[in-house]
Amino acid sequence: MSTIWIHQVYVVSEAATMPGAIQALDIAFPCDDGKPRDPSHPEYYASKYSASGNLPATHYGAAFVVTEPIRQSLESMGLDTTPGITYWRASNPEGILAASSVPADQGKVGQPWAWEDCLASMSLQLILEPKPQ
Amino acid sequence: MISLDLGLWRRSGGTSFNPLTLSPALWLDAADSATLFQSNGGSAAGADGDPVGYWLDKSGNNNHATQTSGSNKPTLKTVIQNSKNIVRTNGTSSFMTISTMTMNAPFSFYLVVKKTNVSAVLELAGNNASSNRYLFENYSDSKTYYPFKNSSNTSLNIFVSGTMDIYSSFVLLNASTDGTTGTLKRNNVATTNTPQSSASATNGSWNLLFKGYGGSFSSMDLAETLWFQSAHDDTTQTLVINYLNAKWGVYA
Repeated sequence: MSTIWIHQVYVVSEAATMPGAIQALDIAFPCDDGKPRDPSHPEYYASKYSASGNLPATHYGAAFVVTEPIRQSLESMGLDTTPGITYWRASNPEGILAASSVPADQGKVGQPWAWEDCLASMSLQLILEPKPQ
Repeated sequence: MISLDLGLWRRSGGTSFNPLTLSPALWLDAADSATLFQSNGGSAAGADGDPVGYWLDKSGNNNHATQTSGSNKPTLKTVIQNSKNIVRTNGTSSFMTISTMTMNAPFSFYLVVKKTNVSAVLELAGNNASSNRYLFENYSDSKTYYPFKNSSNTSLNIFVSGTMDIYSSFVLLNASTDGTTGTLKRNNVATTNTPQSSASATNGSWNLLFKGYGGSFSSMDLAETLWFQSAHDDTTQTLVINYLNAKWGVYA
């Protein structure tokens, strides 16, 4: 049995553009229950990154699987070309890079690709927060 | 003769033991393909890479794990551990919730899990709000905390590792607390982490997330978890541990 969720999408969004990215995702890829998400809390929907690995977050990142119709919907809305949003698409479950909005990564199409490669491409590090007191 | 047979099965880690005999509060089993769905009422999650949006609780208490947002669903990965399937969160955006599972001390839990990297600030359980209740946490001090927090969110770490714990292979974690003290074992060996003698247990309603504090997300493979609304003595812990280890082949 093969999955119909044949694409793995990776999105890195500048902090300022994250609410717009969430809105686009909700339109192209709505929740099962039809309830909208709250774009004022981007940290609920993606992890936080910066060049130093320290707060504040300059970017948010998310990865998820989609079907071919959802891919077409996301890309027709311009998620892969929106300024402030960086986009990669790989095959699922194989994880082979198929497309990217990063020119330097387009030469890596056909190679294995993972989330760590996206972070390396953007020179970003995950933010590990200090322990609450 | 019948009871003797049961005893032999149990001591040998045989599969005749049924966790339902201990009345679990929560039982999520990724090896049971009949419990995994892409959404509530939707298609089964059966193929490698399928999203998991609904994970049925086998305890009978309806503490099902859910994720309605397509861009936040973990995925099913097939034939990962002991030829069985697991549910994988990606460390960037996937998580599931179990809304309002009440767990007051005493309680016990068991996990068969692999942390696939150190990316998560916190790995399992918590409600991402001021009343967080977590199981294990990684922070910027490069240590792993295994806390039971009380309902007022007072930090009551009962086990703290010297360095950040990373599991490159599956481990079987279990803990039990009577509300005053607790035990934490890894692969049926008591942890050498530092216990805090007067720690209180976490009380209250759990919004169980495979998600971290402040919006950080877990990167892990979850095979099976069992929670009980009772403290387990060593004999009972061994019974459950043997059942899980025989099933998942975690350690020799």
